[in-house]
Amino acid sequence: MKFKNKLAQIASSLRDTNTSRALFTLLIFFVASTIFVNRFFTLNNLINVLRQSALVFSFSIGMAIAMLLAGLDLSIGAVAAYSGVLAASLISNGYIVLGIIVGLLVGITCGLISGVIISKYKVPPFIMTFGMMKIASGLALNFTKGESIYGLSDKFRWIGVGTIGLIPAPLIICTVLLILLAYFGKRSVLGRRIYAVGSNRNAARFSGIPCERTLMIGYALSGLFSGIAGLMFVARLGSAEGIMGDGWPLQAIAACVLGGVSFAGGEGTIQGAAIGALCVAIMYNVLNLLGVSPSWQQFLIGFVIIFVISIDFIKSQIIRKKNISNKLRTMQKTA
Amino acid sequence: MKKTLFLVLIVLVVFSGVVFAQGQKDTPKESDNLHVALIVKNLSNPFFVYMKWGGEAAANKYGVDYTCLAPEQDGNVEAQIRIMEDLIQKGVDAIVVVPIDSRGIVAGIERANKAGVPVFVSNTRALGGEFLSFAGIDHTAMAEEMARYVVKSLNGKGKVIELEGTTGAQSSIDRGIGFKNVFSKEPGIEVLTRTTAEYNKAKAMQVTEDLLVRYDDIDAIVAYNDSMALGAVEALKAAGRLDKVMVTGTDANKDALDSLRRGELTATVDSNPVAQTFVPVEAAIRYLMYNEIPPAEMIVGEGKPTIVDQKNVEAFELQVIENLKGFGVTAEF
Amino acid sequence: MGKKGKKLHLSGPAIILIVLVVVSSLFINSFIRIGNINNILRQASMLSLVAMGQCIVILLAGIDLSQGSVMGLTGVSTALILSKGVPLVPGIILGLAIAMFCGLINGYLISYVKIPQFVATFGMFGMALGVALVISDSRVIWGFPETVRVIHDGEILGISAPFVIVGIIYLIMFWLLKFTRFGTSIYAIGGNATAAELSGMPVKRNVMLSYGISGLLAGAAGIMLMARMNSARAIMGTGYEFEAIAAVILGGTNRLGGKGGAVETITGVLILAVVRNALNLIGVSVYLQMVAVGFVLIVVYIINQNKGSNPLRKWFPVKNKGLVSGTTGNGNGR
Repeated sequence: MKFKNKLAQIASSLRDTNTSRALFTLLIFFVASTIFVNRFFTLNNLINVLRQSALVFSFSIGMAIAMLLAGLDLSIGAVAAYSGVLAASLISNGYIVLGIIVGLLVGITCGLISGVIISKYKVPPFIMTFGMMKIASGLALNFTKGESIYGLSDKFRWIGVGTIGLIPAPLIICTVLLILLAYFGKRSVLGRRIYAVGSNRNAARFSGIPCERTLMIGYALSGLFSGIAGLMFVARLGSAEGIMGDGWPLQAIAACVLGGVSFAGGEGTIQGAAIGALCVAIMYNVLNLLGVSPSWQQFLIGFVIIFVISIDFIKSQIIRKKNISNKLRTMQKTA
Repeated sequence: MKKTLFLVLIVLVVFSGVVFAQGQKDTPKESDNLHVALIVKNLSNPFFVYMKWGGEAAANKYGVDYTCLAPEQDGNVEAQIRIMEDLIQKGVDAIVVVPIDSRGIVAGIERANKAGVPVFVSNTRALGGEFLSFAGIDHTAMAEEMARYVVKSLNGKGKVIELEGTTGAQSSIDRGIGFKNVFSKEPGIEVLTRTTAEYNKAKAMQVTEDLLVRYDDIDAIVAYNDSMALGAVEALKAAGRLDKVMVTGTDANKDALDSLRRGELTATVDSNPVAQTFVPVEAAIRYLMYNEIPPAEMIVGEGKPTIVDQKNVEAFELQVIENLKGFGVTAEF
Repeated sequence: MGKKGKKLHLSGPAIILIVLVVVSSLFINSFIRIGNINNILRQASMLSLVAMGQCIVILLAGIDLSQGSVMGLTGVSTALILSKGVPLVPGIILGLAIAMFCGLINGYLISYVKIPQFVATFGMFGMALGVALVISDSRVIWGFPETVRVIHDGEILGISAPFVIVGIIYLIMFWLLKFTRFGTSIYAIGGNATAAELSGMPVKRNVMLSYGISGLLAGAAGIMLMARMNSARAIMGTGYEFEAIAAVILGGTNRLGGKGGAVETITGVLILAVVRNALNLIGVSVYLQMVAVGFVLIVVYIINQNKGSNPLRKWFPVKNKGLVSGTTGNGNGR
């Protein structure tokens, strides 16, 4: 019974055009890579790609939620770093559970602060999360004084490097998160409120939705998932450094954009972000396998993103025009 | 009620970062003392943190005021120029700088020259401006020594991958030359590829994972710094290939020594960060106090660069602690 | 600092800037020296150029993430061109042309192909950086004639060259935004693009031109940075776009109310420059400097929000889009 529900749910998320477009992009990437890139379609490499995409996905969840709320969260990397660093200092001293709790709490708190300031003080998300990014990075670096915290117990590191059979632990964790989020995305009250607030805040307000509270909870969730991402990242690296949050916001944005999540708010799904994360991981993987120099890597990734979005847009324009001409034709027929 | 809760949250976040902080804070002394400043490339890599300690130790030895600053952003030489300008305005008596970019820093040095503030350069050469001395290690010699170690360990035959540092960084270029000098003369050594992991552990992990897919046969991974080496180690561990591949780093950071002790990293080479700043800062102080003119070049560390591997790591670490005590560094290694 | 009509109306950020300067002068010894003030202004010159370009784009409800990469690309290209023996002025013009070209591509993609601005400029960020890295082979470019350094080190009638250059550019931009039809259209498009289009304004063309200007100014900043450092690297502009956005918003530019422009932008730039300079003079650790800048950004914005009124908001009802300029209710009194 549950299985049928899940199938129906997957089908309905695919009907969401943004996500299905993302899926199409992913398919092209995958097929092209398999055909043209040596060793892409090997077991080891596919597992690598899945593991790396799980990592990107964990950072993208927070960004996706913020984007669904017509905002963005530039602080995801820095908050992850701050959570990771504080957690690591406790874990390296033997307090695994306490470390994890502290990490998650720090994430939620930073996110909550961002959310409150964005909703109550009307500071634009860009400014607030940019500021939070600076603050969290600075605090993380100040905490470690620039050194790295290592010596983390193997039990904790399982969430980053462990496997069940051949499947990497981060992938398992992220799949569970994905299923939960996808399931509750449009079904839960909170989920629907997030979509409503993101797509048209005024309409949402007039419908009686508590917009400020939704925003606050949304950004708090973003912080929570940043904390989770930070913990997994630290477990994977085996050490925590204040600077380790650098670069993640851009990757998360790329994943969300490719996954059909729109900055306009209210468009796209968490599943889309997951698909986008896979696309990003495949891109980097392919470039590494081909031995492309880092300079060209930058160029190609930028180019690919623009290319994909353009194609996307042109396609949707064509579909729209076809629909309009179809409608005109039926109107003429009935006239 | 909500507002107070909110304020409490803010205070908690900031408080936790500050209260649980390890290490010491730099408290500026108030006196009409001499003031020496050290500018490093960044303060987010342990290597430069050790450099900060070196300068601090020298300043403490002579009772001189000390500031250590660095750009927020890695690779931003303009920020180093800015810091130099601000320090000149503040009235520092001497500046020791570790340039991110040998040419970009010249503008800053020239400004110091105009203001009459003596300049010392450390670790990475400056190609212009007037400075009293350059103190550093020879990156190329370090790399050559490590390359020779690798050749010996592989018995002259093997497939090697090099992990380079930040694109365009002088240290990375110099180390690359060193490795090339040795490896190119060994017929049995094949360098499969040279790729950059930007001196970053996470990037090195990702790059290594992909390299392991590309190449079935790897005998050694040679990294231009310890962070990348440790990233490669983690990737190899996860893939179960650590026993077949030797990994070497550069710098002999604390976490690298720890990895050596656990039998994971194979070797690293000491680049003596503390001495690289202690020596020039001391020279600057002595120039200010006693008018001692320093030699134009002060190569830090006598004789061959020290390779640290699993066999001598314990002895090396004891020696480092001794050295630090000798310098007067109060921070814990 | 803002002269609107006959009353001397001091905006929130201007007051904050004055307070910062006064407090720093009182408590930090070396702050108020001529040499230090000169430093601050000169250090801020590159960011001022970038921020001015970003300001125009933000007024259009847009964003330009590519400025840093365009800076690097322009710097590197100009350096290469000059080192091949091309004389100074043509070399600079070529470099600026490249910069403007990148900006126009952005504008085209956003205006005519309708790619979201974040995506288009994000893509250009990667592409420009990539091209810059490729043509410079990831190395530092140097060896061009030293004459170019006059842009940064030279003096015109006793005033530092960067001040003159920035001053002239800001005057031009001020005139452009406040006294031309182009400028009026910028504010109109930012407030309500549909209304602007229906009023007959050449929206698409002006948006494209605006991004062109943004790229051009980023290029100018890149050349100035190259002159300052007597060398060029592809990554030398990284991060400038974010600082620029922060400076623009800090200064009070807000499309939802038609506020903003040259004066506001320079105010924001100076606030950031003064804060950083003060922290360097005090010797605050670089980590805490980051925290301080983040705090200042948020706090100043909040303070600025409660000052000043936005009378134009009534006539420019807005749809709720705005990562950068924020969202405000329609007729809800906020």
